[in-house]
Amino acid sequence: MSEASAARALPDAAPPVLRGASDDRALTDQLLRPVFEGAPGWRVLLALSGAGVLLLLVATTYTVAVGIGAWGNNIPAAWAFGIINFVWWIGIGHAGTFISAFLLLLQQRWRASVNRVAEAMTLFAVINAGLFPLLHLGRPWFFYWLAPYPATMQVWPQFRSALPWDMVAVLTYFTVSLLFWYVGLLPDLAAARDRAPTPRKRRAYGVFALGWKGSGRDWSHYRVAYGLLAGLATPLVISVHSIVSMDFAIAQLPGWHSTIFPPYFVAGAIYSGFAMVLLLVIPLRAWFRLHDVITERHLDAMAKVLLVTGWIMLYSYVVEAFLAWYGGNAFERYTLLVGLPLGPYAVLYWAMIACNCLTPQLFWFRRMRRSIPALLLGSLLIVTGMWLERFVIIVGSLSRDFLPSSWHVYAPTWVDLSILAGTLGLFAFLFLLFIRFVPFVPVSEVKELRHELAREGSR
Amino acid sequence: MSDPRAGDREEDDRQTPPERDGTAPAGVSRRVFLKVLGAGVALGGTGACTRPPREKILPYADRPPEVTPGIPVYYATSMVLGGYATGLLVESHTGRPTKVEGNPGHPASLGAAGVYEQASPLQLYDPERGKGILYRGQPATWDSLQAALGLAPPYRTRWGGRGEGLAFLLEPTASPQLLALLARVRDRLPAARVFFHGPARDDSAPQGAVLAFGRPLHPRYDLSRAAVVVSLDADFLGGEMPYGLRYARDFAERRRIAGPDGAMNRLYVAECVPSPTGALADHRLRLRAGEVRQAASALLAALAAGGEVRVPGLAAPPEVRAWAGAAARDLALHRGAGVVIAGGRQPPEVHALAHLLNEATGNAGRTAWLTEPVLAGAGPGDPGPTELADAIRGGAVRTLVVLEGNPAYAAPADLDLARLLRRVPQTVYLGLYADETAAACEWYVPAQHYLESWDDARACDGTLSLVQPLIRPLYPDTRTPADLLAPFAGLGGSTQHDRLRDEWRTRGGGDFEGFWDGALGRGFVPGTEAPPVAAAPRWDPALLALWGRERPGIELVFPLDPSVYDGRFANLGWLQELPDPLSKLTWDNAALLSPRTARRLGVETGDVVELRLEDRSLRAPALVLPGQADDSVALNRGYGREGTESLARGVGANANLLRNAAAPCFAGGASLERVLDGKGKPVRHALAVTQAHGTQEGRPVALHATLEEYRRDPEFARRERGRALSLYRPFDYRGEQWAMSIDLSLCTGCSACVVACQAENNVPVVGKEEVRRGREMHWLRIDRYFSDDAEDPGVVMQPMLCQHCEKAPCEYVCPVNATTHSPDGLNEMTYNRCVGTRFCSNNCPYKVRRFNWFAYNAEKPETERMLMNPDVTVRARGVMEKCTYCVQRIRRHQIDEQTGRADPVAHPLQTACQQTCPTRAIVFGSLGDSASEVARMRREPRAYAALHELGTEPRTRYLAKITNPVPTSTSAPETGE
Repeated sequence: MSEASAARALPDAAPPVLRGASDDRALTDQLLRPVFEGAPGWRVLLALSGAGVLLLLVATTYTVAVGIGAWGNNIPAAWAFGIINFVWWIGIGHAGTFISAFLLLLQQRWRASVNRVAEAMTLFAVINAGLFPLLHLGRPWFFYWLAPYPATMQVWPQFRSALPWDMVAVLTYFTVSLLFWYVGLLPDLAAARDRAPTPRKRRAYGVFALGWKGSGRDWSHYRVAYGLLAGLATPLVISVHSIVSMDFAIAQLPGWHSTIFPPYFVAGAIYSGFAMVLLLVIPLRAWFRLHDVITERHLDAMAKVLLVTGWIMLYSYVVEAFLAWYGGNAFERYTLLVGLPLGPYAVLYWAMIACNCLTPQLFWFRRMRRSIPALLLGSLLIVTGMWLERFVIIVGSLSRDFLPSSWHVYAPTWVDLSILAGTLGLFAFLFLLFIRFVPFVPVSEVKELRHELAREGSR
Repeated sequence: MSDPRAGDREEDDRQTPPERDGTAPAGVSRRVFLKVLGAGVALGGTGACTRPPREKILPYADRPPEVTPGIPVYYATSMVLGGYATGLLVESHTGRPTKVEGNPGHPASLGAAGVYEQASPLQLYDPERGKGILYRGQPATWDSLQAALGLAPPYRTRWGGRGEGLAFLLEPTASPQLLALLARVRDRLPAARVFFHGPARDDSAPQGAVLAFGRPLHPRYDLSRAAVVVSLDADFLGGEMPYGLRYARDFAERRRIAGPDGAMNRLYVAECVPSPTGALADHRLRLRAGEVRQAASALLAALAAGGEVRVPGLAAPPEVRAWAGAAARDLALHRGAGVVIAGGRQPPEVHALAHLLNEATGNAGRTAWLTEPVLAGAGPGDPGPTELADAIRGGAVRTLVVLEGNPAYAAPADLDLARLLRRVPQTVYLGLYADETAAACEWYVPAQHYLESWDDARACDGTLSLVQPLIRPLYPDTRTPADLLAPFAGLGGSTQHDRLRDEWRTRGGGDFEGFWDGALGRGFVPGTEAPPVAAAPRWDPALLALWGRERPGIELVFPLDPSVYDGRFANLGWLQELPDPLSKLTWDNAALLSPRTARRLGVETGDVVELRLEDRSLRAPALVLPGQADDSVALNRGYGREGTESLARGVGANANLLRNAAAPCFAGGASLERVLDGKGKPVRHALAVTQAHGTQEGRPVALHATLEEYRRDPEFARRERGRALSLYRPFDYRGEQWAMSIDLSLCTGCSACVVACQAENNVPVVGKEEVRRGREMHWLRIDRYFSDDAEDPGVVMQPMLCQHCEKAPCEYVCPVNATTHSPDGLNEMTYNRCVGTRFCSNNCPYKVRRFNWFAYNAEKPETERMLMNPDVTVRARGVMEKCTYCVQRIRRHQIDEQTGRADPVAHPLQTACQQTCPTRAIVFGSLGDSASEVARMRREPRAYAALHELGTEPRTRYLAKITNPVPTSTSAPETGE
């Protein structure tokens, strides 16, 4: 589909992806203003999230000092909050790359205004996620044993396990996401350097801009690098969460042992990621009055993605339960048809179904897709629902497995809850720093979009 | 260095060379400065050369010939519980006793050991044992105690020279030495009185014998010849009955069947509280403890219908008559090959009836016979705590010496001994701990543990047994009961060893030294069991007149606890954390109710209830337990301790506060109601139960069938074994192939194996909160499954430990190769390599892996560290652990084989659980030898793999539980699950 035909294919009623932008200079000024002038209430929010970071610090220090016993985990539920949070955060981390890379390759223009926010979200979510595989180890100081390094004892990791692959996948994903994000930032960092009001700021942005001059040569190298990274990142979106799903699917535990897991997990990741993007973009838009740059069109598009991935989730739930019944394995039947929906975590199970399957149905309606309260509430429910889903899969399946004698319920401790709250704090903290010091709407891309739209309009 | 100038130059220089000549000269030239500087630097270096203190160390060259560092040695000794000895072999590592095993030659053990025996070394090393003599809580000395008692200079004439006002309170005992000492004391001080108190003191069995025979004869049974066993509330397979280990073994040998054509004994049990014996019963009759005599008399009536004995018609409920009718038919059918056993809890009439029943069915003199009483102080004529209380109240006791037993806690509350003890002018208490009785007494003398003292004892069958110390007393001020009695007998000066040898010198004939060494080596003297006594019971119709009417209301039963006994083991973490065989409760006792009674009273598990009996009341948490008799509430003794023992204190409720001296084991006429808080909500108590779910949910886990079904379809377990398809290549196995077979027919759930495993493998105790979280560390647990009937279910006990799967699910998910396979078929765990992802546990379908959530072993008291088995790694925080099939024993055995030290007859290769199992339900060995027991059991048609369809191919196989109820032609075929 060519750009022009894509533009024409839009129904007239669809709001534009960019509105009222007079000229490049005004646009640049508007988008760089938060970086140079700050924003009202930023310090308060930073302090609040900083408190969350402190909480995280206290809880993790305590955990490392005394042991995983500080958490609520037990036998049979040897994995719980740690892995739930890991999967949840890494899932959220999927939307950024999906928006940036996938939609770039698919030449979806609406991505321009939101892609940097989404990418930053990815980075911070993956940082949060990366904490957990480390923290949840009984002996975290030996984490590097999962890596194939030339150990003097000549012991290698055990490659039949999903965990070494998991570590590699997450690290790769983080590295590529970081590079992708940084390469995309270069022109804007240069713009910030050029407009910096003080010499110190100019020098700082100058260092990070890597001597960007905006020459044709710069741009042509930039395009190639950006395109390559996008091509590299796209399969990673699929692979990371597929491998994460293997952490469960290779086990023989009923509720985990399922071939549907990789696509199901990837869809769920994108689902929660988009919900999180909405949760970030909508307040940002109001805070910095970016209604012209992030229009209803963006919100509408993202709500549609929620609807689609929501249906994939619904389908996965149904297929999982159906196959448990159809497969005839008594243990699986019990777990998926009795243990989860009627067991000790039945309330959480049905809350998850309500959040993940009912909520997206709102977005059949255009009015809901463009209604700020509906989008905020829906996204919040979906993000919560996806956390509950991981709880149900991990703790629900573990707490009632093969031998009824070993069934035991799990309950989190204050440390578990503090770490979850703390990662939310760390996420917010990093995000606040990001919007304060980095142009969070890609200036160059929006300007480019303006020119394209102008060209189309003049034709 | 205090004075640098005083000492020798070379030493002193190291700190202060520049000041050597006093203050520096006024004009220091550059040359001098550099010289001094250079010397200073050079000599300063010698500061590191501190001379070591002159201490002589010697190599262990003159070691005793039997001690090789690293190689344990075993000594025979005996542990006394309830007055009777059980022969033990104790493993000692360079002078530290670490592990207890049964003595294979001792008739009361035959190589097995129970829960209490297995846990006893922990008590030796308990850091809270009494360490010094106390007078009113202040440190005192043995000499001052002797002086206070008038037994040391300055001798004061006390007790009128005859022992007026002097009294002793001790536990019933069979120790020849102690009895001889007591006789001497009585000789010298004829007016001194001796009282007996202890959990073993249940008068009812001797009284029952008096009713039947006119004198307190001691009943004995030979279960190895009994085809039909009827238990009247007798838990002879559990831990608390004396000689239980031997009875369990004999019973199991008649119960073990090799194939569908084999014969099995049949077990009838009438009981109130579900017990290990009831769990194995073929016909279990659920009755209130006070109604068991109904069952006994109905049994007699049913036999009388055959013309044996005349019994007036008794109105018993139909289910009792049906049970009694079936048992009577079987007993009549197997004349001389049956046995009726009455439990210690039951009143004398029931014991008398049991004697009558054994006589009537021709069993007397064959499977059930009598001996003269072995225990002194348990008979109806011996004064007990009631008489002591009366004597104190009457002011007749001026000096009281209490030898162990903690009567202030353990005696029935209506005697009020704790307060009465304080009224005695002079009291001395000898006990392992400064417990409740110590607090009530003037003097406290810490007792010696049996592993550090010389003593003798008799087993339940009369066999003379020796108690031999394994280690010097850890605390020099500790004493044994004999030590305390000896000065009263005029033997104050001699040592334990000499005293015992002097006492034994009369035995053994000419060659005493040879006799003594032989006895020490064996731990007992063979051929000293009490001879049978011929006596015929009288049928006394007055027996039936003794039948009091049941009192209405709830009945309270007070069993001894299968973990902490009467409270003496309450400070042992191993036992507090040992799940009850049936309720799986740890770190607590609870009021056990049947589901129906609980529904009727509106009580749920965890509700705090108030139990009322006469004018006394007690609060305890309720626990609903299927199989408990309706309208009967059981509360184990041994909890609610208030001594100085920190683990015991405040755990559970003290059942003794409800007990009556007149009816110490059970009493009717009680009431129970929920305790409500101010807002009308029930008060709850958090119970730590290790198994939350009682049934198998129809899964092929613990298979069972009746003998009839087994004979009809011997291959009923076939679907749960055989090769499963696998993507993985077969492992390259070499050498011996280790495997285990467990016969579920023989597992009583007694849990001795659980403690044995804990002792052998340094398994930590984690505490109540951690158990509640689901973090108990037992490598071996016993799963208890109830069958369908919610009120009176059948029970299957299944020891569950690492199954050592050939296709182990844990191995392929470990990211760091910490759990791997050995060529001889073990699933090995390398603690050093484990990073603690816990993926292995998630993927283990048996959930037998345990994780070190905290550093459980970091802060062990000095003494408890001495208990650690040096052959087994003490695990650090953050690593996974699990059953290893006692790999340390396997490897030691293999090393011994290679060095020619192995003695497969005297020391066969056994895992700890296998070695201690009283019924020999657990068998371990190599599949390489197809004649081995483990391989033979694997070939039995009822052998199967738990969760076979998962394809784990475990090396541990179970033999389905076969029960042997009276065959019914109408029963539908079933496949065991």
